[in-house]
Amino acid sequence: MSSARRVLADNGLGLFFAVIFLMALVGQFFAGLAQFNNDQHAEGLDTITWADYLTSADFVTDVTENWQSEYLQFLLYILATVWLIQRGSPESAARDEAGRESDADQMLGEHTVPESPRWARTGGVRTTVLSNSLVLAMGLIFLVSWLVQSIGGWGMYNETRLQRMQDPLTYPAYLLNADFWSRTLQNWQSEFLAVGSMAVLSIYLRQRGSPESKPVGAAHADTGETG
Amino acid sequence: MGSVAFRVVSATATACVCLSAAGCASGHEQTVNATAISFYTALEAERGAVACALLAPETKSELEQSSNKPCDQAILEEAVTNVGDRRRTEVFGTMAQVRYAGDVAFLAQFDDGWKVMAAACEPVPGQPYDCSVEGG
Repeated sequence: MSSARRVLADNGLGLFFAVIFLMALVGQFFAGLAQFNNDQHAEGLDTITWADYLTSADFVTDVTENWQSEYLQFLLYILATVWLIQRGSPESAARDEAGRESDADQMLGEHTVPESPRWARTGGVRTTVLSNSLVLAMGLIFLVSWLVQSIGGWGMYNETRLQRMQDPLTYPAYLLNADFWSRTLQNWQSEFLAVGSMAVLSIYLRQRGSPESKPVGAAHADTGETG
Repeated sequence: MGSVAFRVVSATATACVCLSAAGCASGHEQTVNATAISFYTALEAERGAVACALLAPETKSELEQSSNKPCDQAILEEAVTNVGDRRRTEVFGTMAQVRYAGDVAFLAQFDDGWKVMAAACEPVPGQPYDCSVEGG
């Protein structure tokens, strides 16, 4: 197998989602631009160029309001599955494995192997950072996305208010406004439903070959087993 | 919060405002203000044709229809002169508001520059402004 084909084969999952992410983002961009310009036309205003739309509050808000909720979903799921169990779910730890587990279980300090990351061995702040790095990264992306959504949403909401001959809101006032929380919560509820139903449905339903599912023949009561 | 952290957050927030609210005041505020000044200067000098050239197409059309007069005459009857000092200019995307001591104007961005969408506006509590000059 050539090295290029090996890279593709070894990274198929990440590359597949990167490609369909970019295709969906480009599709969203052009659909959003068309919708924005339809609205402009209906208001008797000039249409805008794709370059202006790319940096518009409209596009930035539409993108980041979905990003923040997706990263929040994974952040909460990663954290919740440390302590909470769902009996029978392949997504859950077994009852006796709930919690942060011992250093031996987590291959830390003297329990590392030669291939372990260096920060797993050093102890102190570095090991603490590595031990929580997934949640830290997810949390940071969530917060930045939510911040950008709030600022973009503020700009977008005020643009609409000015079209209606109303005073614009201040940023703090927008953070208390129904528009901000409606955009936020409509995304959160769908993510919470999806991840919760995944945890529960995977008790009884299977997808042969997927690590997100139990083996097809595994008992419904088996917890934390992946196939 | 430490000053460095605060500066980082402030810079990030500012960048985000510039990017997503398209409200980088420095970019659009000057041209919005220049349009508003030209509009009110023309009204004060009773140069209706100049003021009408700065109106948004729908606003100009609505003004002529509602008054049954050419725009350059109607605008001098409807719009406010002697608006006093400018208090505040806010720009969000393709829309802007300029508040003067004696009037509030709403402007929109067109291909050929910023145009006045509404002027001679009176605030109505809890409602949109009531503007003597405005589009459909």
